[in-house]
Amino acid sequence: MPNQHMQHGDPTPVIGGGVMAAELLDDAGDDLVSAVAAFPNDPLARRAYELLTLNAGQLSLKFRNSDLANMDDATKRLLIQDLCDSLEIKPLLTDTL
Amino acid sequence: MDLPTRMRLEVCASGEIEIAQIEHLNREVAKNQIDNEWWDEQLDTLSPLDDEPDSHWKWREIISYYQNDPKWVARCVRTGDGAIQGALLLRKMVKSVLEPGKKAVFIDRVATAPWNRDKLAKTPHFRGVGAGFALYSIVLSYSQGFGGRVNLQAVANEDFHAKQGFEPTAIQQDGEIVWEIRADVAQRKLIERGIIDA
Repeated sequence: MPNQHMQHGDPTPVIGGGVMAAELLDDAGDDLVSAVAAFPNDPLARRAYELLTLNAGQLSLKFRNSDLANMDDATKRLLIQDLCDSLEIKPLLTDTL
Repeated sequence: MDLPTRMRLEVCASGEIEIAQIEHLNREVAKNQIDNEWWDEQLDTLSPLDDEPDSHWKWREIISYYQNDPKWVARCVRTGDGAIQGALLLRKMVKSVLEPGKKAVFIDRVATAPWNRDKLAKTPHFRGVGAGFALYSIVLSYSQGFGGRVNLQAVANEDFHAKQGFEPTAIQQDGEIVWEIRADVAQRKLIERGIIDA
């Protein structure tokens, strides 16, 4: 019996690779450079910082790097939860796509 | 919030599912397992490898340029045999076209290994890399607070992008249309795939 799957590979093997349209550029993302550099070994602080930085226009919360660095992990988790609630981010249910 | 680390790929020969690992793509892997292995002339193909639109891409150089810039994310997907089945480079924050004032993730490029390509490989190994990386980009956008919005510049195959939920925008670059998936469409997709609750 012939195998019906044999002829089907990936139908769209290549996407993109060209110059990005200038209309898409958002210079606000430049702050991310300092975000990762500021918290290289603290994923909770980095997660909070990235949410705050990436969504600065939507969040009214003001903060300083030292605020995050001085928080204990439980407080950071609460902050992240508050940010996710505010940004309507639900938890991911699986790690498999 | 940890991003997904595994991707379901379909084994073309059997239709079975193999769970592959999504990993950071660094310059060593790019050099040794993409640039040095993907374009092997021993591969049994239906057309010349040089005809592929990405055959000139040097992933090592691309990754070297972006590796230390946190605005960019590079990932690859690895199967159990150790082979790299596809690669992704995206920009974490750009402007949304369809929803002005909102933000999106931009897929700079995706490539699946030549031996997986429908119209190139005589006996393709895996399918699902392109769709898997599109979904990964949507999850990243959602987890950043961008609602799942993703845009890209399609090389070809509009049907594929439409099927993934993307729609064409009015923006073009070098003749290529920018496509984008809206937040509501993206989130419906995440719910349908069991990635978030309704």
